[in-house]
Amino acid sequence: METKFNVPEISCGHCKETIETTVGSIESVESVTVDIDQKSVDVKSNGDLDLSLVSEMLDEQGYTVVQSS
Amino acid sequence: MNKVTQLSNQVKSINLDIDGMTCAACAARIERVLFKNEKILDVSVSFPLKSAIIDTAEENIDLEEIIKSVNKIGYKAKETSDEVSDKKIKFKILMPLTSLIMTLSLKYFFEAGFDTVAYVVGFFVVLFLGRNFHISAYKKIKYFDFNMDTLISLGSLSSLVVSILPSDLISSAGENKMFLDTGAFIISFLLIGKSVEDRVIEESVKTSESIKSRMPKTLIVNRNGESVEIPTKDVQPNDIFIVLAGEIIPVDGEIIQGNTTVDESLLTGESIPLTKEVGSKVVGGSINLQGSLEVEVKESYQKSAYNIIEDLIRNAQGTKPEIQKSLDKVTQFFVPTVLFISFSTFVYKYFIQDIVLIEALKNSIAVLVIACPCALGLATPIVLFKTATQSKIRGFLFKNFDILQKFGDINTMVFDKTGTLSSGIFKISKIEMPDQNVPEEKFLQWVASIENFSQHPIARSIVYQAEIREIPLLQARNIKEESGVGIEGIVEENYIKIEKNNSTKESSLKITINENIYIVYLEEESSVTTDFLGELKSEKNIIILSGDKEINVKRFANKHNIEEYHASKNPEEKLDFIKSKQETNPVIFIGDGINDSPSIKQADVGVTTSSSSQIAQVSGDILIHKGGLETLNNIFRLSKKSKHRIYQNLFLAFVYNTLMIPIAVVGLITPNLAALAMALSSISVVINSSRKL
Repeated sequence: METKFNVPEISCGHCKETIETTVGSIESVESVTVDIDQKSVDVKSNGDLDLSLVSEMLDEQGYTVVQSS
Repeated sequence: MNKVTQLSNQVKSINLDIDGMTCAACAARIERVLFKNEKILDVSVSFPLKSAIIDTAEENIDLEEIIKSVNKIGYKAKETSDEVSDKKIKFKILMPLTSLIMTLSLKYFFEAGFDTVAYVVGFFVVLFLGRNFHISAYKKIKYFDFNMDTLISLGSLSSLVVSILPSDLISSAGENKMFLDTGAFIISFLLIGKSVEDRVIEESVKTSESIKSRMPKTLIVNRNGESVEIPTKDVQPNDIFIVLAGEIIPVDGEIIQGNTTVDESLLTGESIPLTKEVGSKVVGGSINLQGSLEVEVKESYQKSAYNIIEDLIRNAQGTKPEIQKSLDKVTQFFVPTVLFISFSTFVYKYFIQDIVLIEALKNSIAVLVIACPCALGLATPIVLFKTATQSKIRGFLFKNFDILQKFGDINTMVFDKTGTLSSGIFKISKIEMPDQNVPEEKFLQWVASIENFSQHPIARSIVYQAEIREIPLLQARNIKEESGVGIEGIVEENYIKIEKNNSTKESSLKITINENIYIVYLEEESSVTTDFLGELKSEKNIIILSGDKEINVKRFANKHNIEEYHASKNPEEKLDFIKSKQETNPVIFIGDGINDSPSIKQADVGVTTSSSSQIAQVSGDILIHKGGLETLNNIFRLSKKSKHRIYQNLFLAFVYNTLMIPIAVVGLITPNLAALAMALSSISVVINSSRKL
């Protein structure tokens, strides 16, 4: 399934790299795509993605997860 | 109490050096992570200075833990003590110098026949002193990404490789040895350039940090009858604290005891002292000039003016302007293109023109080095940083750089009237007296004595008129006020009734004194001069959009020669007006920020004028906090200047390099000269950025 959310702090390649590696380390995640301009993250996973876990992991890295409407 | 004093002595600062930040957003990210540590009172990470200042009250704070938390998110932190930073500065100057001297000495080692020594020295310069360039390039190449360091690293390393190739492979005379010094020169010149850059950046950043260091980090509050010392960021509503004369008020609040004058210049640049008494709001960051005050906190620290202003400036510095984003994209293509040109140069020279291998190599390395757009990365950040700090000094704050740029380009300016163009204070323009009248002074005294009981703006204006004419107010009794209609009462045994007068087109009051009727005509004072508006009008299209009566708006517009005005508009109608204007042109809306927020949000650029104590409630892209509307001129000026400065930098960094590529291709520039030109272009960009804006 595909989950999309926003991270308002995204600003450069560095952020992209960090978020992709962090979220990518979750077992069920198949692929993570960060769009720097849109400040959005697209996650493809097998099964449901535990957004609170993602949120917690990114929070540790200094990012906040905002649900896109 | 003892414990409390002990505690305040313990607020100490830890300085960290942080490597690996690539933009201001990295700095913000490190701050967010560190701020989660409860032992940390305050933290400020500077991207240009590559450092962090951490304030803590804990005696045995675990520094390792802090460093670990920074490293965990992908940066490299280490502690700096004063001693170390002193050494660091010396090292920063010494390293490029050593590198240059070593490079210059290579020639003599070769001449003296000490080839091995020469190679050791040359390799040391390129590989060790220049290691940061190679590391950075390698990190990028892993992701098939290129930056300026890719070119530097490639240029210097390929020189190194050529220098150790068996000489009979390339030229008969062993000329290839001299490539060693080409590689070393590239590194030396770029190190010198970097060291100059760092110095200039440090100088321009340092001045802006001084305000922060003066803000109190902790304060003693009375909470439920007990004195406790808490970090400033942890204050809660209803906390009460005392500020002695000469102290900085740590956080926003309302005076519950004492009166004084305060200096808000640290916060807003406004240096005229303001009078404050019981019930007045004071803002954190202002200096209490006279008596001792008891202040009650009304809102959390996050909503304090100081915090909001700091946040705004930091965010403005942290945002990546559109122009930088497009530059980054250009660099992505530029670097591979240069690699291609460099390679083609070699192929063409060697295989087609059939010149000696060594010359062909020299040519292609020169192309590689001269084309490096090193200075490109420096074109915007320093200008951005300076613009954000300058704006505060000049009386305004902006939310991001692109908005500021837009502001300079938009031609339609829509102004709110009351509270923006006009002050909201009414002057008496004319009094129609009945036959049996009282002297004007006595009349004003009686009326003001009654109006003193009302909060209506017109009533306040009349009391104000009496005050400036030094007319003392009298005892009044039997006061009855009916909202929206008027007020009545008795002064010196005279029955006085003040009502809104609807029979005239202009703003006026109908005042009855013992059955005699007086009509008082009122006129609203402007907050701007006709000259100012005239000047603005010569460049921009000015429209007044007001909720006030037609007659008042018309009079105001005529007085200042403004052709287009719209009166009696409620906030929704104002919003619709802005929307319809936007269909043809982008619009700047200027209002007081509180009543007009929908229009301010809708406009392409919303400008608000408000005092610093209201800053938390206002919405807007640009906030004017000092100097009123005349500050608009400063905004225009800074907007234009910063834009020009960035374009100049781009010219210096980019056009210059691009122009040099053909010259290098033809073979008119040696790699050594190319490296020098490179370093000079970076230095000129940095110096240009640091000039006064």
